[in-house]
Amino acid sequence: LIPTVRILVVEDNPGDADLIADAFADAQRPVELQVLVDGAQAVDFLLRRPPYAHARRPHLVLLDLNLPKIGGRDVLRELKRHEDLAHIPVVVLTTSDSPNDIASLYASGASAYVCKAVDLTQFQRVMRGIESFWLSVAKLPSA
Amino acid sequence: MTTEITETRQTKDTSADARRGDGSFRVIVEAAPNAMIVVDGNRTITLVNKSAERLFAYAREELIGQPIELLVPDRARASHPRHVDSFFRQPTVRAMGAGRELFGRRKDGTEVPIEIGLNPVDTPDGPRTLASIIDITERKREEARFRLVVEAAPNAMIIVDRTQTITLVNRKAEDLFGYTREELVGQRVELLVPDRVRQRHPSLVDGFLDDPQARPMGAGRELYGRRKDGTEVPVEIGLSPLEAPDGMFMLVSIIDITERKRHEDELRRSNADLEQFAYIASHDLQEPLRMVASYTELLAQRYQGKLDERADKYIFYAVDGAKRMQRLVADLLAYARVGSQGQPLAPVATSEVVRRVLQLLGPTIKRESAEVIVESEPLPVVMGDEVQLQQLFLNLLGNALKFRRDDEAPRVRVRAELKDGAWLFAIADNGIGVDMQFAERIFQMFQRLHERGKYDGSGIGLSISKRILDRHNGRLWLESELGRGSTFFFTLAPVREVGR
Repeated sequence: LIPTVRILVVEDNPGDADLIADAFADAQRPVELQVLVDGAQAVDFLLRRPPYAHARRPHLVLLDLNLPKIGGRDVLRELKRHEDLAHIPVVVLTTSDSPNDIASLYASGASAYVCKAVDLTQFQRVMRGIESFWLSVAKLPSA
Repeated sequence: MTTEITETRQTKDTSADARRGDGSFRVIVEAAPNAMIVVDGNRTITLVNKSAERLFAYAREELIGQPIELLVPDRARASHPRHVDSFFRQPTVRAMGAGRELFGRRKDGTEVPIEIGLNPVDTPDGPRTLASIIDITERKREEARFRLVVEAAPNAMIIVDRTQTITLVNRKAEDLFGYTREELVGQRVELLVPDRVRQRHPSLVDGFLDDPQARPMGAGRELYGRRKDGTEVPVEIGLSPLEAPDGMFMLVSIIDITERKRHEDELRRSNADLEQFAYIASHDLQEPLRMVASYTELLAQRYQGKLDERADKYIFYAVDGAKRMQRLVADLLAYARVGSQGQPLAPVATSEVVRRVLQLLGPTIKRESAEVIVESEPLPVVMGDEVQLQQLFLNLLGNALKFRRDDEAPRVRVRAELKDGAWLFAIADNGIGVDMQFAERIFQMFQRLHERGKYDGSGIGLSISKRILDRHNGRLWLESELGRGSTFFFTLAPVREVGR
């Protein structure tokens, strides 16, 4: 039995969240997706604050940058600040390809910086890439 | 003549010589083309010539024995004897009334503008003064006409002499600078120059005087005039050398461009707003458009062939439309970015840029069995925005490969030469060519000459290229023959040596 991989998707655009879910639907490993729509929810979830007191730690976070309330950058910083969360790999998903953004996000501890492809086929390829790398090539820390 | 008379004076003790001199002296005076009058120490006219008779409209007999004041206008008559006396006390060759305007009085009471040269002469009968008189009516008339022309000119005009002193200004110049002409004439021209330029201005003027040719001043620089109240006014200045009998002058013609500048600023601002709008619009449109495109495509992936034929057609149109729109929006964004995301111009090695572009186009070149030859190796280093120049070469070389003839593999030649101070690039292909009647249209945004499907693209590549060159102060044009190929030309500025 292959253990389930828990992925936290922080994405305010339900369209994108569904595309991500769709892409992971036929993943090689069983995947449990938790989708949250703003940064504040994400921080509460990760820190197991109510209403997420019993939330299970994700193995991987897919983080959009443009989020309501608390932005993606702050969510990343918050996560890396906590010893028991800092090990969780965070893949930043964004439409921006500004070189400054890329550098500063890696510096803040992002594990990968991925541009949301404009084209669906391309987007699906990117998601499959994330899946094949993070869910089979890379070894994830146990949650 | 003067010399001879001076000699006569030096030999005044030898009366025989003097007499002989006196005889030839009369002959010379009579034959002179100028009016000549000889006056003795009592200011009595002792000799006149034909020209003098004509000038003053007196017969010789009416003048001889009369006081010279007969020929002096009433207003100057009272002070005239004093001048004559002082000349006799200190007789030297000189022009009379230096700087003042002189007039002679004719028999009929009218006045004539004159110039008078005075020569002391010793005759056997004692010291005399020989006055040589030139009628300057014509010259005065010319001057007056010239002044009228300058005065009536629609621009502010100033005339400056070799010493950079203002000698004439017109009404418009008074209006422009807020000085009266009395305040300006006689002043150095730096008075009208902003403080920060004042110090080096004289050497700039000298530079003009060394090579006096009609030309606009300060090519490429913004010029300002300084008003009496210290405020500055943006101007455009034309310089023309004036060769006059009394030396070289500069005719300075000044146009107040405050209004034009205001319009330019407004235009620039409105362009920037428009650009900002295009940028925001295209940027913000991308996100929802991505949703439409992604989901219509997902629909296609999942349901194509599973519904009826009509549904398939609808899905196809939706996917196709969304994709086209995405492309247009992306191109619009690229267009808007030329202005908003541009980097300052710096030296760019175009050889390197072209090498990278050919690398990017590698798959296309291979697929089309194309040949791209760089004829001028290495290509020059120019002033540019590297990212934008890469985009430019990518667009133009991409077009050269794209618009190929069916029966011949694309052959593209790239060359550059220095022409009229700028690098002239040419990208020549052997493709389908353009009917020159559409030559303007192809540079317009989203204008295509071919039906969709035959050649890929939204039709913005050349608009972006043109805009990139606009930003580089370069030009872009083409020469083409339908069915034979096109050559796109563009210019870029060379790198100036440091310190120039």
